[in-house]
Amino acid sequence: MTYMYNSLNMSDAALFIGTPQEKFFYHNTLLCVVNSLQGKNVTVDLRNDTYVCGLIELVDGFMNISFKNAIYCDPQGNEFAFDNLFIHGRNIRYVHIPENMSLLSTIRHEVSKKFYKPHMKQLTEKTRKTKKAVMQHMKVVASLNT
Amino acid sequence: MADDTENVAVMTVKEPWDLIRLSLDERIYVKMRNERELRGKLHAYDQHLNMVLGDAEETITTVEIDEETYEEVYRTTKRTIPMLFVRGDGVILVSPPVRVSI
Repeated sequence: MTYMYNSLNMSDAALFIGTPQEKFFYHNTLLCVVNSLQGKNVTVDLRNDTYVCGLIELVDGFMNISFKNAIYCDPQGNEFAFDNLFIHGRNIRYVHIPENMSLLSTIRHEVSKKFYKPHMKQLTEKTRKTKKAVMQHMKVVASLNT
Repeated sequence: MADDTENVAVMTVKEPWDLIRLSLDERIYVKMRNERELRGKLHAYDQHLNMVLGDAEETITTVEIDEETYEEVYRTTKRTIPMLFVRGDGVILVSPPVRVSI
């Protein structure tokens, strides 16, 4: 189950990523390439031999993609237009990447723009136990210095 | 024996991932589910075997049985995509391109 809340402006949306596993996938796999295609018009081949052409609105940690102004085409040649289309990550076979993209710089850019800060809050959270431990440590240090 | 200083990058192959790492920026052959094969230049891969292939050529093999002669006709459809992102769950194997022996 993926829970996604997007802010009003979709660029660099503060994604609420549901599970730690999803968070890991989002930041540590080649998903960043698909992520960098947000706001671009791409073609996605699905596992059922159909394909979707459209503007990628959002991608999440499981590669679920929501499209805007999508055209869904089946092997018989029928085309269906949708304002919004959501495809489940598991159903994706290929994503056609625009060839003028430089992969390395895109990946570097994606990895560097981490708005995900690794739980700094926990480090500053002082429980009574940690506070006591720190006090004790300071006392010992002070006694050593004298 | 020619004494040339070979600039061979010393890469210890410890695990299967290293084998794929050796193929980076090389042309590879990928066998996929549903009788599909891909040939292309491996630009990137990850632990799920999601891959980015450049100048990829996809070959789809279908078997059609002739109604009259009841023989199996193997047909292949090919298409080329300049830059392709492949989702890892469809990949069966990755290999250097199958070389046809002369």
